[in-house]
Amino acid sequence: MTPELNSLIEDHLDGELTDAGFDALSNALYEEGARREFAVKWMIHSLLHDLVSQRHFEANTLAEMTAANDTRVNGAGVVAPRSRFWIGIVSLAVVLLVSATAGMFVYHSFRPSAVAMLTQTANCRWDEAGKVPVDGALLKAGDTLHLLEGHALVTFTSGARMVLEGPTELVLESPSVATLSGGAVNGRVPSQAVGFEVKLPFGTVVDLGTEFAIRLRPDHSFNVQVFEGMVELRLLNREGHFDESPLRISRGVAVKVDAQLRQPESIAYDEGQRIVMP
Amino acid sequence: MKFQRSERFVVLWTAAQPTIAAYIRTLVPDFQQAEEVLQRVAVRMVRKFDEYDPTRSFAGWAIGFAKKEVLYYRRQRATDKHRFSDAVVEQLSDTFQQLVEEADPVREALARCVEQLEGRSKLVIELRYGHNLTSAKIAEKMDLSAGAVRMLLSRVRLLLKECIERRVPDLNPGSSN
Repeated sequence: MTPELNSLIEDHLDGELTDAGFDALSNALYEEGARREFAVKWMIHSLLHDLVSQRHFEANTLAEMTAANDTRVNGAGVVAPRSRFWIGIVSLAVVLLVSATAGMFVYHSFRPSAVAMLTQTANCRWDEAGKVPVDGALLKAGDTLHLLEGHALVTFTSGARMVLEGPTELVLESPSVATLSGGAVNGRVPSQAVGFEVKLPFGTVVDLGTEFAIRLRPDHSFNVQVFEGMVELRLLNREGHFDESPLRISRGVAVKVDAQLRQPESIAYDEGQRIVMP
Repeated sequence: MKFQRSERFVVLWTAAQPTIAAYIRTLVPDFQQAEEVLQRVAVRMVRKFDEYDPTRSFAGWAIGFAKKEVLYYRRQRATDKHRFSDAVVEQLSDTFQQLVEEADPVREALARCVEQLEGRSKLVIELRYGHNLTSAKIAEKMDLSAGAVRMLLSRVRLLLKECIERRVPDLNPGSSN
């Protein structure tokens, strides 16, 4: 590859290509070798974006968790007798090494894994009987968010984002699964998190790369509105089995499911049902 | 689509998504807009999944959908300044289909190679990709000129590419850089 072609591709990666440069690159791409080089560099650029942005998020969450759960090996108070100075030093080193190894093992074994972060809140009042998180709080698998009032944005490590509108109760199961026990949520799921699931009392909404809102009523009836893309609704029958043929709901479509009938019914689509942070 | 089939789709999509994303981002460099195109590809593929022939490469099949969506996106945004010709779009889809098999090993190799970065190399990659900053913004943070940042980024990406090629020799056979 010539330095000129390399320079054109590099500028294209960073969105800094001039008009003349773009023409030169376009012409170069008719040649197979140049095209492959371009594709390989873009593949690496794209993977780097996904890898580093994901690590950046996870590093932030891990750093906060470490600060919250710091378990240090405390070597203070160990005083070696003067006449046994070197034996003491070696013994101390061994003790510290063993303790540190054991500490790391225990830390990694029992460290709860963050599955999401509370990235934004607005006028929130939380149920004080449950978890009362603050902006930037790390959320672990099994955490329940019980929002009485206001709006909260939760970002999952899978990349999925959910806006909660109080009163709402949501249990975080994993980076790609949440259980809605009541209330309303708006989900936006990027393509790398396709398959994200919101479990409901008698069904599951599986995201297929989209934006949608779910409103779950106290009697367990619910509405699903799909603003972008498509979701799949899998209903549980009374025997506790999923229906064999799930319902796919596309953009601009809304359905209501009655708790008694357990049958989806088309309702008027309403863009205004989108839940956003104020 | 049966329950098992949709689960199968999710598994296949998850594996193919990085290659499809790279192809779309090549042609729609704004990552947010590229993400929208990617979502439309996913939706179209779900609808057509019953027609998927499992003896064929799923990612190759997906790139066919991605090409159509990119061309559609471009028709809607006919005023965009930098647009490759339809012929280049077509040829790039063939090139990315050839890279499909290498996406997984490249991703694994890249993760290891990134771990080896240190100092300014590590910082510039973190600022560019972790914080999504432009060269000009990175220059302010690193107290360098924008040109120096572009040089540094170019050099680090070349180091990463060479590191990947050592681990995945089939990626660019016969390449010198």
